[in-house]
Amino acid sequence: MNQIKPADYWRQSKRWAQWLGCEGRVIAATYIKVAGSAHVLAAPYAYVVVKLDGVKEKKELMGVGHERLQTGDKVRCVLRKNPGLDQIGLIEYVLKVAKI
Amino acid sequence: MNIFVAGRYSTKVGELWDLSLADLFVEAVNGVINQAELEPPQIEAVFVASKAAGEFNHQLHLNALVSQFFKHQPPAMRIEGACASGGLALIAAEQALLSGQYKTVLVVGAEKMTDVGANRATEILSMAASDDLERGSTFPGLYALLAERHMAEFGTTREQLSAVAVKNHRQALNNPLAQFHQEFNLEQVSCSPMIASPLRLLDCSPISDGAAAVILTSKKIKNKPRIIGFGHAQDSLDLAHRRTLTELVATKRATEQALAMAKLTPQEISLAEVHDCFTIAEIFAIEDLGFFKKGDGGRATLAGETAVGGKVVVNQSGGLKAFGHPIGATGIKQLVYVADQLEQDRCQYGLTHNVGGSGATAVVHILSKQ
Repeated sequence: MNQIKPADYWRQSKRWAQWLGCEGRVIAATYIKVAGSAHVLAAPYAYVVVKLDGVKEKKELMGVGHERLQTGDKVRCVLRKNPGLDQIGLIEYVLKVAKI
Repeated sequence: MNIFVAGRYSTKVGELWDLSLADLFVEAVNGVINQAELEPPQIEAVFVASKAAGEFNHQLHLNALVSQFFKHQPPAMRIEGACASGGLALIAAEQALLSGQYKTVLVVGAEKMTDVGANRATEILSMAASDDLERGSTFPGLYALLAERHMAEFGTTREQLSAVAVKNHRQALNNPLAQFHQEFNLEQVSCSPMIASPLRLLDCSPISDGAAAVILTSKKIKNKPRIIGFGHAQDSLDLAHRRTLTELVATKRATEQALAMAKLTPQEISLAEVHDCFTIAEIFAIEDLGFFKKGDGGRATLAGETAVGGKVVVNQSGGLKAFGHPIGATGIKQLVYVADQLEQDRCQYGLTHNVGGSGATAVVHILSKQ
């Protein structure tokens, strides 16, 4: 399993506040059925490029749950748990997008 | 520019159960020295390419691993640039030759990928993406995003993607070293299992074991292919920071450099081994290399313009799709294949195109018969 390392998680999570709640529009979308070992329990899931309105930035993000997203969808950045097999280690939350 | 391909060798590509990573390197090194009819002490330096031997095989320090095959233990370095590792090792070797530091060098690449399961292989391959900015992505997923944009913007169709796979599998039938010797029709490709929409299983290149090697020299040799141009360029590691999702800018820039060095136009090249890690990647490549105008690559492929007998023969070897994609070896085995064709007098100029990740690194080489 290639779960995120706690030190990486701590560094990355400090920046999430700037994107949480931001809204934007999907500009490219796929639906991943075969995932890497770190996200195999999350599959299938949407993976998209989003143009965020407020910060005027493009970002690549997973979709929440098994929700299908397509180009043109209006979305919002949210925090969701990444399902993992590890019962005693880090509980990983991931910045994702949900359809509005 | 006087850089000649003095020797070349590719192993069989596939799931090579009996061969370890070290065995693959040994076969390629011995094979290329025999083919070049050189004595081992004539190798002055070694450039080793591999993407992920640490993750796949728990083996790093590959420069020392390969150097110790020689009694005189020449200086060696390992070069990694994701799927462009082989191409980058060639560039490093060429720069060393052009600087005058060495006159004859060995470039060898290998990858032993089939000793891990599919999810683990997917995870290792995804390390070519940005761990921070592309969490949750997969290698097919990133190319799927590019495919989706290309299809939306230019009307590229499912059938056109499938035509790339059909052509490359058909062409691989004539390559005894290829991983696959199996033909598919358009419907079989279009109905294969979905991996990351719109890309399906038969849109993807395989997990492969294999190795390839060349000996490059600045000494003039008669009747050996010559490298007359090369280019190398970069783009952002993650897709979101790219200027566009419908072209690979690094490929365009590397091509401009290589063509300028070779003093050629794309229309003068009749054979190209391009980086078709996915079917959509070949369509991007033939447009960004200048063989077809942007948006026309799918149509041209379906019309047979890139098959044997077409305007430009693309991936006659079967490409990554059917010859196979042993990552660290890929950029070198492309050069081996084109050099073979040139030496057999089958074309005047040939081109190779090797890409790292989803297009962040691109290397282009142009070779001539002499």
